[in-house]
Amino acid sequence: MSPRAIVLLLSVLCLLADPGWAARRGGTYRLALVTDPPTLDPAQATDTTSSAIIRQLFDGLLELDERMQPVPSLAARWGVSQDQRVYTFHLRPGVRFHHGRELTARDVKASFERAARGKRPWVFEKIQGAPAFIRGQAQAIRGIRVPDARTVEITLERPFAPFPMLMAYDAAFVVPVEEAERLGPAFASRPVGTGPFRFVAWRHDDQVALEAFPGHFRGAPFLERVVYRIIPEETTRFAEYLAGNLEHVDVPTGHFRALRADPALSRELHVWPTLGTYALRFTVTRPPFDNPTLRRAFNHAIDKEAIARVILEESVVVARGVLPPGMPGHDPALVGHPYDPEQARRLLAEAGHPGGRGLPPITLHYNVNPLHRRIAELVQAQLRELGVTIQLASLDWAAYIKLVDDGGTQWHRMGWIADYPDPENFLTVLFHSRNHGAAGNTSRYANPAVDRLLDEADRLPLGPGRLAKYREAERLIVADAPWVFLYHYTSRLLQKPYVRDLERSPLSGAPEMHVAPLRKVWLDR
Amino acid sequence: MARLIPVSGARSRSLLVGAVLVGAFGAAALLAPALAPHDPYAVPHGLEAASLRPPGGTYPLGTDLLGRDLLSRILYGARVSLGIGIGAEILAATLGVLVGLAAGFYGGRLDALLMRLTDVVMAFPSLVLAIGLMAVFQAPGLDKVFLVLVLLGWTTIARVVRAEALALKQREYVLAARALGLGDAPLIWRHLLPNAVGPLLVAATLGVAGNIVAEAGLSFLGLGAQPPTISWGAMLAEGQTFLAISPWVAIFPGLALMLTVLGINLLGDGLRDRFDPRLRI
Amino acid sequence: MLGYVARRLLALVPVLFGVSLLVFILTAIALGDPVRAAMGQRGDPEVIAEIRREYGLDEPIWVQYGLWMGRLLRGDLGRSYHQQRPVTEIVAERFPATLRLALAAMAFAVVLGLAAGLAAAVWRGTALDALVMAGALLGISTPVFWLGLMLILVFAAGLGWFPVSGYGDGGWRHLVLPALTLGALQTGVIARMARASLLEVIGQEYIRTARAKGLAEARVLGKHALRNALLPVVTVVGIGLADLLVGAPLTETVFAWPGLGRMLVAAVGQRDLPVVMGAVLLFAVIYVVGNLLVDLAYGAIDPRLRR
Repeated sequence: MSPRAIVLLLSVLCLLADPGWAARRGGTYRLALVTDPPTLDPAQATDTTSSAIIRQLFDGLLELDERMQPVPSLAARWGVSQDQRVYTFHLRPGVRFHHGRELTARDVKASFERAARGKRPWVFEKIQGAPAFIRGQAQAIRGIRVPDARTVEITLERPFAPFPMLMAYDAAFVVPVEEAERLGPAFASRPVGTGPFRFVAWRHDDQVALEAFPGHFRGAPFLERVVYRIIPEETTRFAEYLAGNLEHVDVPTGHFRALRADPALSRELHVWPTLGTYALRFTVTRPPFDNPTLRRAFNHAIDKEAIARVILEESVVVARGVLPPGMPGHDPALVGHPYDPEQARRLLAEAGHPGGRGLPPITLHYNVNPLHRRIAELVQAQLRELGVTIQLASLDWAAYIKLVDDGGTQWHRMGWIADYPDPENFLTVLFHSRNHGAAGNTSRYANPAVDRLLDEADRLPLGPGRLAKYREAERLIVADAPWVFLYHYTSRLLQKPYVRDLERSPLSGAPEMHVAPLRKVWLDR
Repeated sequence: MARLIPVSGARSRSLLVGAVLVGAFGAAALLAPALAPHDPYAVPHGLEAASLRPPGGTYPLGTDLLGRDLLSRILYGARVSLGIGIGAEILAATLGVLVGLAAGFYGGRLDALLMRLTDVVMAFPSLVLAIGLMAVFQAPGLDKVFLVLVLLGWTTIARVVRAEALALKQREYVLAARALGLGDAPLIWRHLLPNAVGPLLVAATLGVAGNIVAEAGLSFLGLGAQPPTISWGAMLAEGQTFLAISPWVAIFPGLALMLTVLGINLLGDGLRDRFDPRLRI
Repeated sequence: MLGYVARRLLALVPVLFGVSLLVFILTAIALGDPVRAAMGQRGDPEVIAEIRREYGLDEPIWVQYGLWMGRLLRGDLGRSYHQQRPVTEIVAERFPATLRLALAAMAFAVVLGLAAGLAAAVWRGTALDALVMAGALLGISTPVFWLGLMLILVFAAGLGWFPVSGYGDGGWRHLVLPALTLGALQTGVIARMARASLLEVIGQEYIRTARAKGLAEARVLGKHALRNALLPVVTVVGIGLADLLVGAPLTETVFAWPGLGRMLVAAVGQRDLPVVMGAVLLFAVIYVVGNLLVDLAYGAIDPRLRR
């Protein structure tokens, strides 16, 4: 064989090889958290900070791939019955927890029951018998059966096509229950899972350290260690990144434009969409916002472009409806209610309040946060142009969420980021009349036609027919304008050039959550 | 306690400089609507061009993120700062005088009870207690800051007045006056308060400075004034976000705050040297 | 002396009891539902009710105080709603950072304040004196959070000599700017006090006698005047340390210093009432005990004060 042919053959072999072939092992991945994680127990977490770490320590039956499709994880394969109600998961053999014991189907059932009585019971409420168990009226969840040590059979109350996505959600991660019971609340700070990384140490408000778990069922990850440093101040995180002490970092407020113009740093800047929607929600059950015309007037009065351009430095996408781009069912043809002060004036008059006359005092509520405050101040100034005076009121999150849940505001800000990439997680949760209040529909919006469409869509198998129903529902919702749709979130990240195979999740806008899972990441240096 | 011996002439100089500074900010607060070159609340059209403008031109001190003129906002901010500082102190001082009189003049159980209460309130470092108190309220706001400053600000004055009252009670002419049937009220008006006015004025002046710093601090932490109320502390908090790219947003409100406090402290120093050399900061 | 100490300690009991009662009342009347807040955006009423039972929030208020006081006496400050672990554990983790910052700030304040104050007294009436006194007044008048921001602007963001903020790996570079910021006020106070008390001592009879005896000026200052002048300064330092510990919330917030003060501010934001209670209580105890120690030290120095 000629030398040329050998080179050619080698090149072809290289091309054919798995991309991971070139990946290097070793190194520490350092990233920042904004706050100390409240817990590392999947059953207790409700926040993105906790979830970010939990996702490295534990596995679920399934996981979502880059295209947000459910794929095998602890379950090697799964199937669903003809009536779409019974899911059977076949566990992968030889999966071990960090403390050495082998995973069995009993762990799955016990973990789910433990988590169903934790902080996110809604993840399990579609399972038969789960509501009774959550309320403490049953000893076990009837719908979870363990025919043998390798098989878990889950029966749903009624068909729910996105169910496999729930099985990839971090509230449904599997824990070794005897460890969790032995440690009690301390499990939250000494977690044991099956994940690619295992827990090493946690110095509160300083750092959380993980190390590679060589016994992971997919083999050891590339990184040797992962260190989360807790750095609340965004400018400090940024300075640490520039000093080479972090592998990636969020973009600090006010810096996005400068970074994009910077010849060196702009190449480390990454922006991608997050499946989330920021909106100012009206309470539609009470005057004055029980009037859709007035709600539409407010929608047209607010310059969403200015919010996106100045306050968010052109880093977000202006919203025209509920579903963000990238979400199945997103309707690019939707027009929504673009900024149009003239139209706003006309509608205001049509609603019986020409020039804002005769409107009762209106208060816009937001929870304490500089971004929300800036947006509220801008909205206040823009409505003033139309002759509409609004008051601003900010509350800390605890008081805020309660007031909002109880329907105590006239108008409030709220963001929503997908728990799983399915329109049900937006439209049904946030607009179905059965979900009024804490369950998600804080506008208390109710439209029988929308309810009917959502109920039908929720039960259909995945596919275009289902999405068409969601689209129809969204069009009705947008026309009723229960929210002022402001923008869809994006994630913004600076990432060192030597970081490879960092996957970008559209499921969170939080800086620590941009990336999951870390097991695929390696450092090219 | 040691006496602060002023550098010669410093007494009148600090009084003068202090009075000028305080007078200037007082005038700024009163005349803000006339002096401000722009509407301090209005977000201009063409926001992108107006946002975070450096000092110069029609915006002598630059603009903030929402394109609002910093000079106008600082002028309006003086109203909040001085209003809270002086207003809360007047109420707190009144409360303090009443408590001090009651304790010192009537003595006995009431005195013991009031002084234990004073001890308890003074046992808390005031800023820490103020921050903790803000957790009690559902929403932060200037009204709550005012309330907290009044509730925490009366103790020093109560002690000063009580001490004066105790000292007065022992004096022979008071004993004589009482024997002659002179009532408490005239005693308080004619003898006690004139004697206490020096220390009272000094304590109240320093109290005003303390209130202004506390309001700004709480607003800086997000526990004080809420928009659209303009507070120097809240402006500073916004300034910290943009410190690296638009430092003027943080520099000027802080400068105003510092000069105001400096003026009041100078005034307090001068008054103290005049009235009561025993007190110190 | 022992009797005096015992009396002072005994007098502390009602104050501390009052402090605990006040802290409890304040948090008991707090509005909003902290438990609901810990649940994220999709709360379940059943679970919320369960947690409320677990924390005893459904009991009458006096029962809650009894329970709380009982636990407090056993050194149990309760559990954080937000972090779900004991408050004592959280507080114990945060305290060393605050103490470290306060000690560094005090060291800075004592060294610079004494040097400047004594120099101003020795060269009284000169430009140096005027400069020191003006600087001291500025130190007293500059709000700590603004001073911190300006130091960051100049020495961290501008010159790059020190890190912008954070605790780092515990090295001294991270400590410099926060310590300067927190210590500025005390520096001013100490400088003024040192100057005043040295001037007072110099004016006294025996110093004039020493001078008249022809002792060298340096010797007069060093041996006689300085020692007597330092006594009042000692008290300032003692009180000042307690002041520094509690002046921490703003400084720690500006510099992202992981101490008690920032923890308190964060807990207020999260309405994590057990943590707020614990922090306020601890600060109050430090403050009270610090002041007591100063009184005792002063009593030891000057027996006339032991009334």
